Amino acid sequence: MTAASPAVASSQSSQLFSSVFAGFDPEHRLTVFDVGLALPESLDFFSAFRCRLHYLNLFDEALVRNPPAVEDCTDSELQQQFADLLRFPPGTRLDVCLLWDFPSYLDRRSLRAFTAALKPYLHAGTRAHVLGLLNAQTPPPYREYAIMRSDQFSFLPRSGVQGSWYAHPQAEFGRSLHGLAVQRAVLLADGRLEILLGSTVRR
Amino acid sequence: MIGPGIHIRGDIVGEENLTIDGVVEGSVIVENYELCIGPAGRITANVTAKLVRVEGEIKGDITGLEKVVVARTGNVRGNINAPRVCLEDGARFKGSIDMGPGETPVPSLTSLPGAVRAQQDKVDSSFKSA
Repeated sequence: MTAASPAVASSQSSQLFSSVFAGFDPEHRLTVFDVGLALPESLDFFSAFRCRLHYLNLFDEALVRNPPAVEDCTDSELQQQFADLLRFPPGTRLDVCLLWDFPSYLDRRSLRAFTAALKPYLHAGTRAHVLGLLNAQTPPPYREYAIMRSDQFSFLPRSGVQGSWYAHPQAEFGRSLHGLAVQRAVLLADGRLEILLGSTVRR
Repeated sequence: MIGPGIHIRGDIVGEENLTIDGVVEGSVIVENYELCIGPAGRITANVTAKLVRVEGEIKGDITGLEKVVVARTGNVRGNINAPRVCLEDGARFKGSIDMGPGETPVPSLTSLPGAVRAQQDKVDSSFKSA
């Protein structure tokens, strides 16, 4: 085995990320789902919390990289395939979902199927944080993010080959969600949107 | 130490620090001691120790009563339960992490072997060439 070569991290500020944690009871055990990889800085950040962190690294899943065609797979079958990837322990209710750049690697049908599969794990107070692509002309970054502070991330280049990407204008993005809705959005300097999502689930 | 030429299938219960550089399938419990899965270690097992350091690969759940460290060469697929978890740059992890400052995790009953064994010489293992 060869060790991963150290890469230089860059940083990115966030206006909305601190809102993800606003109002949470510090005595409550925080349950967090991150679609990417665990990075040291993020663990340092969460070490201040009583928490359960789920890291699934969905970017490398075949279902994401090579989504099945409509004629090969119905919408409900696609949802079931995403549900198979999201095998959280029974009774799991996610407080925070970290979906940085992930929607930009899902076409609209897959985005709907993914959020429909995620919905059973949401509760009324769930929040999600997204970095999304508005315009397909520019590829989204292919990065692994880490949390430095509640208003700043660091990021490293993600290993492997970047998959296909899809832009989701904000209105279309909102219509593609199940169980989540856009609460606030901020246009970033690189043309992406930083989005805070709230739950529409009532339980 | 379990060297790189050793392949164990079974439950290991120990009362001393343990380094694994071989292959283990089953469970490993050294509750009050340190467990190091060396760079050549390949573990498919639930493990429990006071301090767990992963430099090789493990597929299974890790309970660290004090701390779990995944080194830069480490690769974990499973769940980690410890008051403190440290991931070094380059470490690979996929699964869940349960952590809480000041909390001492209780070893999962499911990680324990079928019968309680207090001595390492009671290890029920089958050895074969790796």
